[in-house]
Amino acid sequence: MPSTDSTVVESRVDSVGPRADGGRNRHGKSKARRRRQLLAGAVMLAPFTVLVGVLLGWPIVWTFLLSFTNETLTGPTALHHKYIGFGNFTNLLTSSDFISSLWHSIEYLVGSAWIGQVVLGFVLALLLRRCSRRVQAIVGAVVIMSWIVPEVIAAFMWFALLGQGGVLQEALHSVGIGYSTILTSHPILALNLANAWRGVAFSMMLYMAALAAIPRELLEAAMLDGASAWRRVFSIILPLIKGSILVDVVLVTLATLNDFTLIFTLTGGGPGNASQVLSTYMYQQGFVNYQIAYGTAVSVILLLVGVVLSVFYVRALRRS
Amino acid sequence: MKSFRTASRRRTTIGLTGVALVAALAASACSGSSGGSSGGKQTLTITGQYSGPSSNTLVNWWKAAAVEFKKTHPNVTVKINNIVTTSESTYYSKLDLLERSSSTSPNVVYEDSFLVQSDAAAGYLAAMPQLKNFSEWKALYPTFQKVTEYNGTPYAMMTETDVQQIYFDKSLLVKAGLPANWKPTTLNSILTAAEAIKAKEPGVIPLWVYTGTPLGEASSFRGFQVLLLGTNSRLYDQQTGKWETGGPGFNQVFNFLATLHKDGLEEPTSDWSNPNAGTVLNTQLMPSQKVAMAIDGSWVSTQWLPGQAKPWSAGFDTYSVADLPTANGQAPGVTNLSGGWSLAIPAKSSNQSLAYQFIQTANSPALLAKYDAVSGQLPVEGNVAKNSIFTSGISSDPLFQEAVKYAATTNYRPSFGPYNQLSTDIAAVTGQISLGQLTAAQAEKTWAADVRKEAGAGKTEG
Repeated sequence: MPSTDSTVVESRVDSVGPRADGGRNRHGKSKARRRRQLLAGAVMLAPFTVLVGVLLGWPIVWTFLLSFTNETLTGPTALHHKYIGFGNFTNLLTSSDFISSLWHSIEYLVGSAWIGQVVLGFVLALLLRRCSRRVQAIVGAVVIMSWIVPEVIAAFMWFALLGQGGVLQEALHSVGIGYSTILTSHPILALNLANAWRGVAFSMMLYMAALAAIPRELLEAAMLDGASAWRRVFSIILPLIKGSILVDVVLVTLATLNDFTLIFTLTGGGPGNASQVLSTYMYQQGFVNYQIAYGTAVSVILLLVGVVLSVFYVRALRRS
Repeated sequence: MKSFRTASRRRTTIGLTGVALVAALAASACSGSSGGSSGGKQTLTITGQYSGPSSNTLVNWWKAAAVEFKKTHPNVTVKINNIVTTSESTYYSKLDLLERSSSTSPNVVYEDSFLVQSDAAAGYLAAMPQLKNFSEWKALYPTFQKVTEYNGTPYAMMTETDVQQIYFDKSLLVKAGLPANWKPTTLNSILTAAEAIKAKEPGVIPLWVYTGTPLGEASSFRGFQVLLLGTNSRLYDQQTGKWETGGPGFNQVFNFLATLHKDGLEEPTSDWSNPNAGTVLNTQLMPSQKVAMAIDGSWVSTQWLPGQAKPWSAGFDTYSVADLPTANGQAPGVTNLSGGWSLAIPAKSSNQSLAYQFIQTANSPALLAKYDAVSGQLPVEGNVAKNSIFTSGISSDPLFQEAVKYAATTNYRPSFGPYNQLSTDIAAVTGQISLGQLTAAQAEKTWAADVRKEAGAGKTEG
């Protein structure tokens, strides 16, 4: 395998590399060259495309197909299922459990992704810019630690902190303050805190890199012209790092919408359905209620929500 | 031209490499068949749930059966291939997924009895009509012959069961002014006792009833269905073949549960919503005398024996058990409901006759008696219950001894058709009652809607 690869690379260099043409027919030759380049590119991408197609594309297509059937994990329709059109989707849209899961997903997205990661990550990056390198290194290291911790472990840590008989309860009790765990009284808030804590490092690093690329002179000039700090942030910094914001918002949104581990480990979607989001609802339907096709219909909707939000972000940022 | 031809040849190389890679991946995905034979030697795989050290009793039983099996089948190696998870619902779905393909299907599976009918309907399990000639199957209590039957044919051999009881802390009840040999006669008498305990001992959970979705089947089974069986209502009408959308019994049980919530007589949300609620109750809350009464399965006290999850010898004096009464004390006076486990053969098992022979060996009374005794399971047939290995094995657990007799007369769940979804719906409704989101009347309405949706038109009544 490696030897094949290396010869391919050489051949590409040979066949499409620059040549002394002598000037005549230059246009036709460059066209042919471009075609060859494209061809070589396609050839090189072929194995990867096939792999992605087989391992990723097909499961996605399969999921779509499955969502239009009545397949279950057990019972008569497990192996002998049939096409039922949009049945799963109409059932979903009239199910109060689904609607509440969708709503919880939005709360989780706004609370832990938009506010807890995108905004907080930007603010942290902005504040760190003014600090000395040493402070930057220390704060950076601490924040990144939360990102390095595996998600399941992070969830257990938050459980140990917020849960019944947990650190917070013991600490508050010892100073005479009552606390009944927010994991059951305000589960979405608990999830937002945990996810923001865990994910803010990514946004912060992204914005630190973006901010470092802004020329200092630009901000100094604005300062001399009397622009306030707010003004500098909104009129200079934000427009200049638009691209980074887009990347951050899209990645963080998709990661949060699809997040399962943290929620499943910390609250299991409960108590009752109080913190059931689309991803845990999908799991619940597919693997606890054995409604595998119904579960895939949830996943299709989850995918659509992600696509719609991504398109919305791109358009909104392009317009601004 | 030359370079183009070279490129084309190289392209073919890459294309072929890609194809080879995909083929290799496909091949590796398809290999790994679990059972099989080579050179006269055969491997028989058996799959159950491993949820921690307490599952060792299961493994030891199969190991003992394998030793016995080797005597008559010297060429067969029994391989135990357990699914490691503490969650039963995860085990069920993983097992179903294994059973779907002949490349992953074990030869013998350990099936929860409530899934046997639905897995048989799915085509996952092989019919076992030959069981009807097997002496141990003939000796089963009739309930346990029926529970694994689908279309009149047995699909699994029951190995163990449990019954439901009320555990009560004698000293806590006495403090609340109740007798140490308390015997509830109606659902109301349980509520009265719970109120008395709450009034006298504020720091204690008066009555633990499983509720909500975290323990799904446990809530549906011990938190609702066993109580419903104590009324004249049923989940499923055997005569008409229809699912019940409601009735006086539903009303009475929902009211009982709603009263528990309204009057603060049950465990707090943070306790029941814990996915490990069962373990917390049996090994932490009960031993620290934080629970006055608990409706739970017959195995609870076996966890307090030496070497088990929570050795607590004082527990056998601290707690006593009472039968679950019928709702209004009507005949027969006692209600019960049993689950249990069984051994079955997947339809895609590579060697079904060998699998059947192994099941026969594993179900020999002596092996099963030892397993049932050490794992705190009730025998499903008289041969095992009377076996001296079993009786001497449970001699140090008076609470468990109380339960043995009920296995002969207990009930089982209508675990076919939409049962799995309905059971999840029941668990969800009980949870919503415990969260104060549903009153008894609203719970009845929710149930009726759930039943109509899951069972479908023409399959419901009431």
